[in-house]
Parts: sequence; C-alpha cells; structure tokens
Amino acid sequence: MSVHTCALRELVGFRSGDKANLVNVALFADTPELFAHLCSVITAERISEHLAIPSSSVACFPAENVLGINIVIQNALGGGGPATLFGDNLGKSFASRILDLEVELPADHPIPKRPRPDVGWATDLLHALPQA
Amino acid sequence: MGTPCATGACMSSPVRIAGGQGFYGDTPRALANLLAAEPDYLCLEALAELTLAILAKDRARDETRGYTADLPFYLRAAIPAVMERNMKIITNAGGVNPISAGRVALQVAQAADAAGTRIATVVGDDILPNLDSWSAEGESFLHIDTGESLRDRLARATTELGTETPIQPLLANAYLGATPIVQALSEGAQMVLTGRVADASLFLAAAMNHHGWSPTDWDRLASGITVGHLLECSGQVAGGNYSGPWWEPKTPWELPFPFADVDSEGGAIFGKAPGTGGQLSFDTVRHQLLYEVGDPTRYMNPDVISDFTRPQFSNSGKDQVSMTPASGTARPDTLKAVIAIPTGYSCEANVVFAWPDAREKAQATAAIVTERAKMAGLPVLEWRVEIYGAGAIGPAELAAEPPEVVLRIAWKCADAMTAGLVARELPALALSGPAPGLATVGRGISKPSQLLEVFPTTVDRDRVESGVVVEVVEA
Repeated sequence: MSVHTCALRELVGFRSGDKANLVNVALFADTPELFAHLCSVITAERISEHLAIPSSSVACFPAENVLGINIVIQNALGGGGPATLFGDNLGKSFASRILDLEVELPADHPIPKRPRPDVGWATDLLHALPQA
Repeated sequence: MGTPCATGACMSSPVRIAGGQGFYGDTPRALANLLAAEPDYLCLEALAELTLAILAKDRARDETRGYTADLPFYLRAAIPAVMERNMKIITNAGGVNPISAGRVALQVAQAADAAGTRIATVVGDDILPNLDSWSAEGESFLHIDTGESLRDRLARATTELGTETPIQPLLANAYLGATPIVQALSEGAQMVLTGRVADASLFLAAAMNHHGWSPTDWDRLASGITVGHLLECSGQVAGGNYSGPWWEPKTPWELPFPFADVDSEGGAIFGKAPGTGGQLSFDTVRHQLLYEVGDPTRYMNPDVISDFTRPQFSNSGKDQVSMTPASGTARPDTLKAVIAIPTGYSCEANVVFAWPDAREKAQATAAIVTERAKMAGLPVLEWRVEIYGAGAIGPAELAAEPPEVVLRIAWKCADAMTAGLVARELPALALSGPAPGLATVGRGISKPSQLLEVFPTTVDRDRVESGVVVEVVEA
C-alpha cells in the first residue's frame, strides 16, 4: 500500500470569516469516513506550521453533525476589520491559504478531484456587453 | 400569535421567520420574492461589527440621522404585508439612533395610510456615557481575547499615535438580546427598531414571541439562536459565498433570501421562495452553521449559550433542509460589548505592472515609496505591501511569472493629512520611478480614512439591562 496525498482543495468544502482579529476557516468532509480521517490529520500544529505562526494561536473544533472542522486562528488580521491595513480585512479569502495544504489520504481512498467551475453563462453574458 | 403553554400539551403552529437583510448595504433585490413567501416575521440584520461607527459619523453631521439610510426603503416595501396580514418587522437598523428610526417608521406608516400601526423602539445598548462611572465602580473592561484592560489599551494608543490629547473611545455598545424585542412584540408592536441587538437574537425574539418560549428555556432558546445564526447572513445560507458548485444554477443574480418554519419544540425547516434561483441544501446550510464561529459547542449570545453541534440537519425536499432542536445552557452573566478605539488613519494606492518582471517592478516601486516618505519627513506607523496576482492572499508558491500584478501599498499614519501626503509620492513614479510601465496610478489612490480598532469586552448584565427602554407608539 502506498501512502498518497492530495491538496485540501480537492477534499473539502470551506468557508472563512472574521471575528475582530480572529479568523475562522470551516472545512467540510463529504463522508463520515473522510471526516474521521481529517480529524486526525488537521491539527493545530499542522495548520500553524503551514501558516508559519505559533501553534498556540490555532485551535481546531470538530462538528460531527455537519462533518465539519472549525479552525480558529487568533491575531490573524493585523488588528481586525476596521483597524487593519490588510486588503482582505474580513478574512473572506483566508481559506485559500489553508486549501493548498497537502494531506495524506487513507490508503484505500481514491484520489479525489472536486469539480471545476463551468461559467459559460458568464462568458456568454460578457461577450454580449456593449464595449469599446 | 401563539399561546404560552405551561403544560407542553398545547402546541402552537410553526412560525415563518425570514432573513431579509444581512448587512448595511445588502441587496434589496431579493426582498419582493421573500415577502411573496408570506413570512410571519421579517428580520433585517443591518449591523456588522463597526457599522455603528459609520452611522455615528452620520449622526455627528445631522442629529436626526444615525440609522441605516436604506431603512425607509425596506419599511416601505414591507408595510403592505404588515397592513394586510399583520407581518412583524424586527430590525437593528436603528443603529445609533433607534428613536429617529422610529420616527421614520411612523412617517412610512402614515404615508401608507396604515393608521394604528404599532411601532416600538429599543434603546439602552449605548454604554459610552457610562464607561467612566462604571470603571470607577469596578468594571475593568478586559479585552475578550488578549485580557488587556481598556485603560491600558487607550494609553498604548495614545503613545503609538503620539497625540497630545489622550485617545478616547469613539463608541461603546453592549449587545442586547431578544428580551426587549419580545416585550415590544407582546405590547402589540408590528415594527421593532433597535440599536445593537445581537444578530441572531432578532430571529430568536420572533420565535419566542410566537411560541411563548420562556427566557430560561435554554434548549428552545438555543434552537432559536441556531435558526437566527443560519438566517442572519441573508443569501449565505441559500447558495451565496459557497464552496460547492457555486456556478449552478446558471442565474446566480436571482440569489434568493431564506426563511425558516420554526416549530414549538425548536425544530425548523429552512426554505426559499418558489421560483427563485440559488440553492439550499445540507451543504449550503452547514457552510453557514460554522461561519464566524469560535467553539461551536459554546456559541455565546446574550440570551443563551448554544451548542451548534447538537442539531441534526437533513435534506427534506428540493431546496429544503430540516433541523432537529438544538440544546443550550444558561446565558452568560455578562454581556459582550464592543468599544471602538481610533488608531490612526490609513491610505492606500493600487497600481498595475505588466509582464515581463511585473512582480519585481512592483516590489521596487513599493520600496521607493517608503524611502520617499522618509525623505519627505512623513512619519508612517505601519506599512502593508500586497502584490495581487503574485501571492498577496492565495498561496504564493503557485504564482510563476504572472502576466501582470496589482501592487497594493497601504500605510497608517497618526493623522489624515500625513497619510494623504504620503500618497503624493506615488504619481511621480510613473515618470521617474525606474520600473517601466507603472499603470493606473491616477485612478488607484484612496482618500485617507480613519482606522478604528474593535475592542471586544464584557460588561455586567444588570448595569446594562437596567437602562434598556422599550417604547411603543401608534401611527
């Protein structure tokens, strides 16, 4: 059996947001098996190492009812919402800094790939715009 | 309206509660479809953490302002439902001036010939005038996350900014809960206008009033808060800000706003108006359940501490999700309060460089601006350099040589004039910065704006609640 890995973006749903100077990133598994596996590999140490921040500033909370893991990161927004110089002052895009994390998959787990966006309706609309 | 039930034998029918606004500036386009779903209560959540700061600036210019400017629009759109089928409106859009918001509601009702409409205002969340006296009486106002006292933080801000007059808080508001709204509704109010009431409590108040839930029925209150948390961000539970297949369905401009039918036990069914776009599923609901949450087993609120990991969610129909009752524990003895502390002025510029060597040209330009500010004798307290297209927010190592980049350079100064003067160092670099091809500089420089630090703290519940006033008037 070979150990295989994949980036989190192929594995989970996600949403991030802020609370003053804190950011939370919620990750969602599609199956109870994957949720149980992620609970063992998504740890405060792993996340803090990936973000190069102290592990004491990260906490992970499981929410089994929605197969979710809530990652809470302190002091992540340079002072928070209306005080910070950060462009993403509300942490809306913060999840993308975690989604590139490579995690091990269970040996028998197929290599997943989440679907890519199909925005033909948008490109059609944009082509039809009056433009110079 | 439901009847309070002591024995549990009598059951009130489910109540339909709708989320018509998620913040000040939300789209009004979804409201008509939401009203067509005939909610019993329309809740309008208008206050992000420091929306009050924006509204306080409005009030400083005109003392009759200080509520959200779009409030009259929402009330005019919703008043037919109030008149025709006694729908109730609950909103914290009163901002820093619920009394003036109440006058606006009165005018809207009179203009709609809705004589007899009962309008309530709730005040008492503003604790700025009390900070000094309560401090003297022993309130220490410690920062929720860092433990630093308000007094120490203000002293530090004064030192950092080097101002002669000590820095003072600009705003201080306690988060009120559902109780004063329930009081207003029980006195027949059809529109309730508040200031800083916790977002989810607007929705809980509707369920409490309809079902006659006791303010110490922790499990049912937790159910109401869970429902409120899921509805308070408008479209975010119905396919907005969604990491699943967000490109489906193909008419996302029709994103609908949500409602929930909440039963007397605290179970709920979430839905959206028929014929609207968007999507509502177990997956979209769970995205919202953990949004801006810390420990999901202890979601703190003025009314109850809720365990968000207890309700079970399942798809119960197309664009329909059911929730089993939640569980909760006794409300905290203290209320959360947010204090706004001025921390200087920021200004920023966004300029574009194209291939080749776009990133290097951006880096060089940022470095030149910082040196020019020094040469001009302009003290800058903090810089922020972000190169979009080359890993400013996303993972940096994924960006090879990009076709173009946006350089965003932001800075913080003690005063607005200095911040604005630093910006003047930018345009000259289009001609005399060595990096070739600096574009869009004429359009990309902001005006200085004030930075305000959020200082979250706690305050004794009784001190605040003894000053809460609910007033009901008739149009």
